[in-house]
Amino acid sequence: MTNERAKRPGRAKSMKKRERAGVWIKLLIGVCFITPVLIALVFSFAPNEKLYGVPTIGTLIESFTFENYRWVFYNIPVFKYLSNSLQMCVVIILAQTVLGCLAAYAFSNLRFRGKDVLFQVILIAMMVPGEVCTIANFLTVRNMGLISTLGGLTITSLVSCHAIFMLRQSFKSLPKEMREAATLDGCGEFRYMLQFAIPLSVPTISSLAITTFIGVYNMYLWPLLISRSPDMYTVQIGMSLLISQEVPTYGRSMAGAVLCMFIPIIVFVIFQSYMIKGMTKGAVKG
Amino acid sequence: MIDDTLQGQSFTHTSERIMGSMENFDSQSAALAGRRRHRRENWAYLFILPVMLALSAFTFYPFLRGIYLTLFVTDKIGNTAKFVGFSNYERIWKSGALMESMGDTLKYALAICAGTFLLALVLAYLCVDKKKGSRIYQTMYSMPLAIATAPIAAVGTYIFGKYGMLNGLLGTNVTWLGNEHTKFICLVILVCWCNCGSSFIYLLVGFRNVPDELIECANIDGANAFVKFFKIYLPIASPQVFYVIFLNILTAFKSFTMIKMLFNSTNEPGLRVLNSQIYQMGFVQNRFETACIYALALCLLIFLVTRIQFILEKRMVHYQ
Repeated sequence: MTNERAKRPGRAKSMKKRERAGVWIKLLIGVCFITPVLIALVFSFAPNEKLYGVPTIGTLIESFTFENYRWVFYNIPVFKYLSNSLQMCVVIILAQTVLGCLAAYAFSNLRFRGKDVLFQVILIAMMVPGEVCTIANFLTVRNMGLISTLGGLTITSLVSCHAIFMLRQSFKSLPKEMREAATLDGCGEFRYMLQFAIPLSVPTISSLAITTFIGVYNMYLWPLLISRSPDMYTVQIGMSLLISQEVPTYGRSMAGAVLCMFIPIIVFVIFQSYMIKGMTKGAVKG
Repeated sequence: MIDDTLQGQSFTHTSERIMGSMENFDSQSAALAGRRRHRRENWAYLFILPVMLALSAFTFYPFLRGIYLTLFVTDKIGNTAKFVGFSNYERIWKSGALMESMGDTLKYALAICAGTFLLALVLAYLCVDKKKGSRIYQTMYSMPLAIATAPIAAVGTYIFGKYGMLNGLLGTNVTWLGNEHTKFICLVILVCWCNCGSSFIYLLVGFRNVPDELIECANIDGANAFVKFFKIYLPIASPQVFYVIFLNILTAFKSFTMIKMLFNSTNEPGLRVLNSQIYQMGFVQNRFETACIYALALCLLIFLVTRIQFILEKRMVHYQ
């Protein structure tokens, strides 16, 4: 290939040009693909009454305004909703990581009676679709008096079987010589877990945390059922109320959509490699 | 999996050997080692205890309670009021609503699966070569991963609304979301966009597994992009293709948020998918036992599809 290219520089150049054109076309397709996001972003800065139909670019520039955002911030406690959502994310991520690490460590490094059976139990729990449990869970949580509390929002997601599974794989992949050396030096189980196993599994833990963050932040049905009072609304619930108003106020709902999207998008763009690694590891064989 | 357990065992054997040599050393330390092992076992139970408690309280118990509730008539707040046996099943079966809902679910799931799969396939094939700038458009194509349904529903109501963008562009006056024929298409377009992020990633991983030498050979033989796609990329990525198809069907079974937000109701004729009916029965009409029956039907459907996936996977997918 390279020899041929060297012989015919003209062809190589045209190929290079074509390649570059290909990249630009793909970028253009990408921009078209994320049109919904761009629509939300651009039209959130346009005044409401201009948005019935399609405003031209000229009117968009000329009537650029922060009015929609001002209205949203003035009428909706956006920061309250954001803090509710973030609290929920933090609690769930912490619980899933801590409980997941403990269980995964027991399943990977400790020996106890009934280990295989208990691990099967976790695999079975992984297969039960969450939708089936929603109703009975709602009844349980309500009877516990946890409606409209952070506890009620988070209590059903404290354990993730997927996280246990991934962490177990990660702990198992650590070299056993290290474990033996540590044991000979008198390192106990708890200390080995805290000082070796967990620090060495940080890549797995962070990819799980990112995926969980985006998942929990975007959760809709469970918060809808549990947050009955406006001061416990999460971002998704608050913004969806903005969307489903009787009279369409497109500008405002676009502003709401932007406020709803920007945190996960930023997190995703920065940490996407972690997230993708977490998704593809162990999902498909081959 | 089997490999893993084997590994674990051989590992414990080695530590056993260490313990064993200590045991030979003197008998007192042997008793100590035994006690230590016992103590370690207790630690292990302590480590799994919280997980097991949470799973039994919020996965297994609600599953069984759901089945239990279907045998009763429940009052407004979900307590059992009267035992009625299987007559709930009979009532729902006779009304035909369940079958209708199942039909809607299948139609919806197949449409979503086809749309998402094709969209993700095209996008993944576009990204197959790693080039300068490919990270940028790769991020754009996988963007839907990060975006929730609510904001996309907001954009959707603007695009397809009566005074929205599409009518403005075309100069028409169609209620896209109110019309029986167009509402399904609008919904499918939006949901496919939302779902295609993960499919894109999996397919891309599959396509990137193709060895470079193969592609070079094909290039020298003068294969064009279509031939390469159908004869090389698609067969080699067959595990991912297979996984993505079923993943999309299962995701579609579980999703109804877009329906709820676009139409502001979970009882839209033609779109009464099972999951929306669970919500409608349980939390709008407060008929918890009916909702539980719908939930069981959904569970059954998911189980069947997973079985089909396992059976077909054995026959159709070849791992390298």
